Amino acid sequence: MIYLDNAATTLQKPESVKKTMMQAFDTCTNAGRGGYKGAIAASEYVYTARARAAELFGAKSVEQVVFTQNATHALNIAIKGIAKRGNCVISGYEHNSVVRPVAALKNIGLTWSVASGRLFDCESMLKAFSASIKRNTHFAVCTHVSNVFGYILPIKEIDDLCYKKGVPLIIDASQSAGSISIKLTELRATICICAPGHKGLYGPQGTGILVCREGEKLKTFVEGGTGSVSAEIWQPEFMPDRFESGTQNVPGIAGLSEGIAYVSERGVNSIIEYERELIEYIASELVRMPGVIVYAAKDSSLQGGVLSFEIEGMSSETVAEQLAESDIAVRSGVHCSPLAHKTVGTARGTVRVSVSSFTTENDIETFLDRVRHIS
Amino acid sequence: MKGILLTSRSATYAQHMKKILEQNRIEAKIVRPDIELTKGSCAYAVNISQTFLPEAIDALRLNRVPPVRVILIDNRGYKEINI
Repeated sequence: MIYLDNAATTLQKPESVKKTMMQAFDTCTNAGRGGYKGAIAASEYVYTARARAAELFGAKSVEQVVFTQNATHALNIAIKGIAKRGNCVISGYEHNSVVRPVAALKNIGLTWSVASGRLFDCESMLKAFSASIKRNTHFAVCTHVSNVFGYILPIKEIDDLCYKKGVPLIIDASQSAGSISIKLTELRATICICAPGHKGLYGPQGTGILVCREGEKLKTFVEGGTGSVSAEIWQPEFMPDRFESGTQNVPGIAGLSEGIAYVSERGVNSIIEYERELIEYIASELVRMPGVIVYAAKDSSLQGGVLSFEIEGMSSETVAEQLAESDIAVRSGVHCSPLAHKTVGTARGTVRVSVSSFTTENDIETFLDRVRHIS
Repeated sequence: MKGILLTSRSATYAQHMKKILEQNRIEAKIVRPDIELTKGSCAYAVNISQTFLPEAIDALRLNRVPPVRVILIDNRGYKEINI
C-alpha cells in the first residue's frame, strides 16, 4: 500500500517503537501502583517518555507533561479545564476536536468567536484574531497547522498577541508535533500544547500528550485513582497526577517514547524539510494536470506535510475511491474540519494527501501517475 | 531497609528524584514506604544512604523536586528529620 494519510495517523513507525512496545507488554505491570519489579519498570518507561516529551516541547519540568489517549483528549482537558462563562476565540481552521468541546460548553455560558483569516495569509489571520478578542474573552484556541490544508498558522505571533491582550492560549499541535518545533518555553501566552502520539511523533494509536504550563489551575473532568495521596477523597492538585487517573497505556507510552527519540535524533527541521520537498513536488505536478485544483502555498514555508486538491467534476470520495483501487490511501471529505472548509470555501470537501518521514519519492510518483490517469 | 527515605508526591516525582540523585552520583532506590509514613496514602520514596543526605537535599532543592518528608530508618525504627 502507498500510504498518504499520515495526517490521520502514521502507519510506518521506527522499528524501535514496535520492539519497545513488545518489551513493555511482556515486562510491565501498572505504573505507579506497586514497588515490585514490573511496576517500577513501568514507571521507568513512563518517566523516560515524559522526559523526552518535556525536552521536545520545551517543558520546564517533566511533571508538566501529561499522557492522554490522543490529542482530542488533551484538548478536552485543556479547554474544559479553563472554560467558564464568557467568550473564547478559535481560529477558522480548527478541527472538531476543538469546535465540539467548545460548543459543548454553551451550557455554562461560553460563547465563541471564529477568527477566519484567508488561507496562507498570516497577516489576515493575525488581524482576524486581534479583532475577535473581546473584553470578555478569557481564552483562545488555535491550531498550529491546518489538518486540511497544511497551512502553518503564525502561532508565535498569535501567542504574542494573546499575551499582550492577557488571553491564555491553547495550541493544537496535532499536525505539527514532530515536524515543526514548538516549545512552551518560547511562548508567553500559551498554557497548553496538545498533541497526538500517533502522528508525527510516530507512537502507537491511543497515545497523546498534553504539555501544561500551570496545570494545577485547570479544573478536572475525570477523577480517580492516581497511586498518590490515596487516603484523600480529592483529586491531587499536583501535576501530572491531576490529569492521569486510572491505569496508563504503558506499552503505548513506551512506544511513543521511542517515536519521540526517533524524531529528536533525526531532528524536526530535517523532517519538515523532507516533507515540504515532497509536498512542493506534488503541488508542482498537480497544477499541471487539467481540471485539478490545488491548495498550495506560494510561499512553501507556510505549508507543512499536508496538501488538499480537487478534481473538477468529481467528488473527493470518488477520487479517493479510485486511488484506493490502486492501493493508494488518501483521505476524502471534510476531514473532521467543516470549519476549515467553511473558511476556505471548500464545503464539498477535498482530497487530502499527507506525507511522513517514511514516504518515498516512488510513493509520490506512483500516486501522481494514478491521479493523471483519473483526471 | 535502613538509611534515609525521601518520600515523594507520586511515582513521577520519585523517578525524577532518583534521576537527579543518580546524576549527582548518589545511589538511590525507589521503594514503597510504610503507609504510616505517608498519612495513610499509597506513595513512593527514594532510599539513600545517610552519608549522602546533605548533598541529596541540595541537589533535589536545586532541581525543585524536594522530598515531602525525610525519614531516618535504623534499628530503633523511624525518625523524621527536619531539613
